[in-house]
Amino acid sequence: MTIFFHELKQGKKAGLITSFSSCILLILIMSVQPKVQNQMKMVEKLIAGLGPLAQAFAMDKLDMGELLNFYSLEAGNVLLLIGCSFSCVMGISMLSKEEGRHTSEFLFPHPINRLSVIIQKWLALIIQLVVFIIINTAGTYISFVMLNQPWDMMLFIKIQLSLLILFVCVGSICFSISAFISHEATGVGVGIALTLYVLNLLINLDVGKDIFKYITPIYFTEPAKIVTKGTLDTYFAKYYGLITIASLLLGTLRYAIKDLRI
Amino acid sequence: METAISTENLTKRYGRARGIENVSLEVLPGQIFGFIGPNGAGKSTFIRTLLGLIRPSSGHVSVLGNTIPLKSRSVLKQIGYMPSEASYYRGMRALDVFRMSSHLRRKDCERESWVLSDRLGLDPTRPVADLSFGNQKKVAIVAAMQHKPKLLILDEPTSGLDPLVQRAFWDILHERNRQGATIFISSHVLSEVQQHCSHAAIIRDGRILVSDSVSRLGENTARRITLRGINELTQDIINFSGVLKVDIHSSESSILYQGDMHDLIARINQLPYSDIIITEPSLEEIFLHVYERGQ
Repeated sequence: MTIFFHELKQGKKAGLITSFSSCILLILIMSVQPKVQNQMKMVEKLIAGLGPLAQAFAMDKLDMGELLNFYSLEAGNVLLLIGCSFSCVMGISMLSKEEGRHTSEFLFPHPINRLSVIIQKWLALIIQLVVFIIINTAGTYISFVMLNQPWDMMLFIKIQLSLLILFVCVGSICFSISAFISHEATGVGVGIALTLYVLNLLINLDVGKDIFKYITPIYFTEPAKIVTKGTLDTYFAKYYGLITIASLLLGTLRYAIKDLRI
Repeated sequence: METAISTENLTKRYGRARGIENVSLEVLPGQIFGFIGPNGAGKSTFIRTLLGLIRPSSGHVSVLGNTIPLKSRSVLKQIGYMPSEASYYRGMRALDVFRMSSHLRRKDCERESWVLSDRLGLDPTRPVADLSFGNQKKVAIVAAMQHKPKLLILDEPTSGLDPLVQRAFWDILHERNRQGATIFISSHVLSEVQQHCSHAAIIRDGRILVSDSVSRLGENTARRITLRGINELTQDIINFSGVLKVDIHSSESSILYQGDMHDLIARINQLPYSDIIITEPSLEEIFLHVYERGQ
């Protein structure tokens, strides 16, 4: 497990900085909630005036005065965007950085097979995503406790788990793409995350075609949808589960036979 | 006898670009084998194919009796590889590089890494990023040798090393060779290959020009004779057997020559030159005028 621990060590600093920055941001957003609750009439007016924008962010479906509703629409949405970008950026460079940073000529002459490298690096990616969601969940939980309002713990766990599923899904897909490229592609990672986010906004606005639901996993993991439906859509959960596994297999096959660029 | 390295018609193409073409080579156990060629000749491509980093387009590769890349994992346990320009992970000290390498090999090499570092004058506690190019080379040498491999594959190991360290490096290499290690070393410095290697092959444009014992290759070694203060040569010298090329400039003339030096010098001494310099010609010249023409 040398590569696994090595990856965790290498990604520790960036991972912790991103996690704690995002956590502080969530706490700040949640601290606004009591003011929103006290001025609900004005907020409702404001939301009604937003028109399609309110629809895009699902603000027209939920009462922002309630703690979890506010979380899912505001802080949860921010966490989704930051986490999605973090997963894509981490995943897209996981394999390709060895070639991009010219360390493949150090690593691969050692007696390790490429499958083992792939598994260890993927596990390291997943652990980093789990740590990211744990830190942010802990920060959000503390802010909930401080706000001292009633909220559904189970629903909150479901929201956080669905976000973790989203991060693992997009992180793994980008990880697989990483097998096909030979350089670090941070920009591509951010681009993928933003594209998936925008596609989901289009779906919410009803201007996106149905096919978009099969392109962006944000569609079924968006916090506002979990709060509205109370659970994950199992059809899309299975679909994106299969997509993730298929992409990992494809990435593995490619990486196992590719000529490493030095 | 089982070969340490054996390739048959090994070819690697990158699309339309040439890598190596029909390379057939044999390195026997216990040899110090020099692999000579100019930059871009295909030396590194050949080495990376041996290590399974890239897959051959056609042909067969066998290292320590195992087919590559099928059994590369078991073979790599017994190989130490030093790349020509090694890159390491960010924030690592030389010591961390050695530890990571030994963990990947599941072998405790701590003591040997300190011994080698000491002999090469390397402080392994310093971050690799802070080290000079020469010291980073030393890190690569220690990482390649600390597990005492059966086969050492070294890609241009001495470039960037000062002469004292080069001497220490060759001493270690000869010790390892006496202990039974086979050494495959790529270089574009002909003199070091002549001095230290028992066998050598010359590669150019992806093809092996010649592969033989160094003593036999040495017989073919040409010399460049530069005569200062004269801008013409007699027909006697220009047409002299063994003269491969003549260059005449305004203040000096030079001759690329392969043969008995005494005969030529006797003729040159009749010329009114002010100074004479005899040097080893560049590899490019040797390839162009000796091996390509003569063999």
